[in-house]
Parts: sequence; structure tokens; C-alpha cells
Amino acid sequence: MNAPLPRDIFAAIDATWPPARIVERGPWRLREGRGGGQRVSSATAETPVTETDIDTAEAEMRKLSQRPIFMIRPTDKALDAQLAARGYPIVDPVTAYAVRAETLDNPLAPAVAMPVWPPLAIQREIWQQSGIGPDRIAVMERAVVPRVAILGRSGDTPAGVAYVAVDGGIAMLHALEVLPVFRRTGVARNIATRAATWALSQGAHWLTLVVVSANGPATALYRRLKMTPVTSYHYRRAPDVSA
Amino acid sequence: MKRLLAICILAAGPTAALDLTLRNAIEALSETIPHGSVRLPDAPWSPDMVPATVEGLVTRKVLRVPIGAMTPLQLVESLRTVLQEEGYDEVFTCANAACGGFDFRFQLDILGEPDMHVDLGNFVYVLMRSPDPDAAPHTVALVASRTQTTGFVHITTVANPEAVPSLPPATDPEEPTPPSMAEMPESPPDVVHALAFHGHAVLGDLDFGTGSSDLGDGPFASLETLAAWLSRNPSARIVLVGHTDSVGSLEANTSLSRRRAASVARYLTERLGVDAAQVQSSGAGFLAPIASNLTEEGRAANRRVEVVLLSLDP
Repeated sequence: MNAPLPRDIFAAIDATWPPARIVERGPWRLREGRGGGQRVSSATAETPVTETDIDTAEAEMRKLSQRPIFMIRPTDKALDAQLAARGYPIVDPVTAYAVRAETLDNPLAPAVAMPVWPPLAIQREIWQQSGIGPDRIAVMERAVVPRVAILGRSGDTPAGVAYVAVDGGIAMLHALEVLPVFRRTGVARNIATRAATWALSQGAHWLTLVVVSANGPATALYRRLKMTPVTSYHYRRAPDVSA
Repeated sequence: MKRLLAICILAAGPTAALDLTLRNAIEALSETIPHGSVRLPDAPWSPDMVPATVEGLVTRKVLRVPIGAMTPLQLVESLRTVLQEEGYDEVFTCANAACGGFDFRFQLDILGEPDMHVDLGNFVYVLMRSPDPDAAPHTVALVASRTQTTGFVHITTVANPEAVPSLPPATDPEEPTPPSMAEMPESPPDVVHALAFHGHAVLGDLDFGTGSSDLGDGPFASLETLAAWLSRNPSARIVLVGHTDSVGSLEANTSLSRRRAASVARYLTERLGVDAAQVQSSGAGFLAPIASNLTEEGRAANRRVEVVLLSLDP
């Protein structure tokens, strides 16, 4: 399979990190996130939209008690300008990275990084300590694609965790967290390596992930893993909750 | 041979998702809930009846159809036929007052006005279920009604989330399953299908002019398919064999056929990222025609590149 195209990445985001409910109405794909974060709560436009369409989408999101937020992909330039004119600030530019799974697929001692499903209590604890609470674990649990939670260890001690799921030929890694005392000890690399091996066992030849572009340490790690940027996006969020 | 059998079974499997739609329909609204539950009555309403609740991956959508004199029953007829052909059993069907009227309507978990319209004096309800609990979906409920000008069809589907798509058996990460033909897409596209069953295939959508080895920019569906398959099956080795028509000398044609095959090989490795170790190329000139060289049609068919599967085992 070729390097994933932007549309493959966006499809993989929805499949591997799914909203509680997706509603497609007119030009919009609206997501009900139930506290799972902006990735599962934002709206995307599948065709060009009018100002009235934007009003409708805003109303639908408010009906779900969600602050209106739109995901702006490279093809959404017109919507980007429309929302800018409404005073929506840009939030969290994100970059998607990809690497051939074979590149990372190296032998690894079994105990160093273990794929398990459902997540173990210790994995939930590590996520919890890293700010990934039950609402986001619920996102992983409701995915209807093959997925695993990888436990990374340092010696005999649980040290890090990640979630990886497969959509077609693409595996996407989410929620990679390493406890602060174990950072820079190779735990994240081991988790990514195991994720790549698992991805190949599921027939996926690309390991991908999305990361907030401003996250320097994570970006540096992914570059060291030979991951390269394949697309990017950002959000535009309503200027204030009641607007 | 075992491998070939696996393909037949996969190709025949009921794993492909059903696409339930109608001609000329506008999809007004659709909704996907990865883990949801809906009430799907399997009997007419009565005061002591509790409608069955079905849980799983729930989708609901509303189709609007501009109609003339079609009745709600006629609206759902084609969908019902498709489902029956796919092996779904009709569990319960009712219309209008026979369903239980007003009370029945409010036991249906369907998308509301204005997206969906139900005329209580003119609607039909059909509940269908697959005998295979892992069918995706295993349950489909249709509600159809109409106004003066517009037909409304509401389609609810429920699937077992663990069956969509079928999860591969757990594998030891230390021993990744060797890639095999079993990893092919459910309906093998022609090139890969022919390759698997006959060991060779013509790349039918490439077109070389007489005397030319220039492949052009594409895209070429056959090469995309082949590249995807090679990437899923890293142990597969192929040779591309160029062929020409009979215009000119054997020497010149053999050389031309090699160049044609080489340009396809380059396209696969350079443009589509196929591992060069999996691909060889060669040329047979005009020595292996598949049609008469006496007609232009035949000559065009003879100017071709074939792919031959050399080995598959690791």
C-alpha cells in the first residue's frame, strides 16, 4: 500500500477514535463526543457550506451542549475563512505522521511491551495520571475495529501505555503516554515498535498518529522513529461558550 | 491449493456491508452510533407488549424519494427483495392501523420530524433479521410513509460491533501471521483474482501505442490493485512480461517488449512504492500473441503487459 493520503488519515481518525454518535445532515458530519475531546466533538464539512449552514451546525452542536468547534483540513480553506470572519480563533494545529510499519518492526523482548485488550487496570491508571480519563477510554472501547492497548515496561515496572487500532491498511496510535520518571528511557520507542508489529499482524503496513504540532518533545520522538508528516489540520472554536 | 480455497470462501463470505439505498433517493440524514440500542417491535402494539430492544452498532438513516403514486409498501419493496436475496428473514411486517396505530409509532426509535415523516394512516413497517448473528448488519428495520409529493424511508440497522469488521483471531505478536492470500480484499479485483487462480493476468488498462514503451501518468487501477496486493504479501514475487504486435523485426519487438515491461515495473516501484525485490521484468516480443495480428483490434490486444506470479511462499 502507498503512503496514506490525507483522506485515509481522516477516515482512520474517525474509525480508530470514534465519536459516540455521528450525524450526517446536509453538508455536515457532526460528532457527539461525550467528553472524549475535540477530535470526537468537532464538525467537518463534506461539501462547501453557506453561512446558513454554519448557523445550523452551530445550533446542532449547542443542542448537544457542545461548544461549536470545526475541524479544518487542508481542503477546507473556504470554511476556514468563513469561521475566521465569525471570530473563531484557531485552536491546536495538529500534524499527522506516518511510517511504514516494517521500518519499526524489530524484535523486542515480549515483556518490554505487551499488547492486551481490554485495557488492564494499570494501563487505565497510567492514562488517568496522564490526563486521559474514563471519557477517553470510552472512546477506545467503542471503536468497532481491531484494537489493543500496549503496556510498556521499564524493567519490571509498568512505565507507559498507548492505544492502537487498525482501519483498513492503516494503524493509528493514540494516547501514547509515558510516566514522567521513565521518559527518555526508550519506553515510547518500544511501545511504537510493538504497535508496528501488531499492525502488521493485522495486515496494516502503515503506522500513523496525530499530534498537536506545538508538542515539541513528542514531535522529536516521532521524527526519531522515522515518521514523516503526511497531512495537518486545525480546529476553529466558537469565541465563547454562549456565542 | 489450500490458499485458493481460502479465497473462494472469503469471496463468498457475507462480510461486505450492505448498501441499502433507493434510486433517486436523497439521503436526508444519517446517524451512526458505535454502541447503541434501539427498540424494534416484532409484534403489533398491545397494552401489555414491550418492544424488543436490540443493542449493537446502530445506524439510522432517512431516504427521501420524489414519488408519484407509489405506496409505502412499494417504496420498501426493492429493499426487502435485496435483503431476502442476502438471506434475511422477514420477522414482522405490518401496515397502518394493523401495527397498533399511534401507540406503535411511539415505540419506534426513529429519527423525527422534519427529517422523517410518518403518516399514521399510510405507513408500513418491516423487520428483517439474518440467521447469521455476525452478519453486518444482523437486523434491519424499514419504516416507509409518504406525503403528497415525497416518500420517506427510514432504515435502521444493527450489527454486532465485534463482527464489524470480523476481528482476526488473536495472534502472538512474536509470531506475526505470515502474509497470505487470505489477506486479500473480500472481492478480489480482477488482476489479483486472475493472478491467484491462473498464475498470470493481463494488465488490461495499460495502453501502449505501436512502437511506444511510454506508460503515461495513470492512474491505472490494475497497477494500484497489484501494488496493494504485493504490499500485503511481501513474499510474493512477480515478473512483468511485455508483448508486442507483429509490426517490425523480432529483435526490435523483443527489445520494445522489455522496455514496456520495465516501464511498468518502474511505475510499480517508483510511483506505487512496491519493493523492487518483488518485481522482475522481461519481454517476449511478438512470440506469445493472444489475438490475431491480422486485424488492428487483434494487434492492440497483443500490445500488452502481463503479470506472472513466480512464487508466494516465504
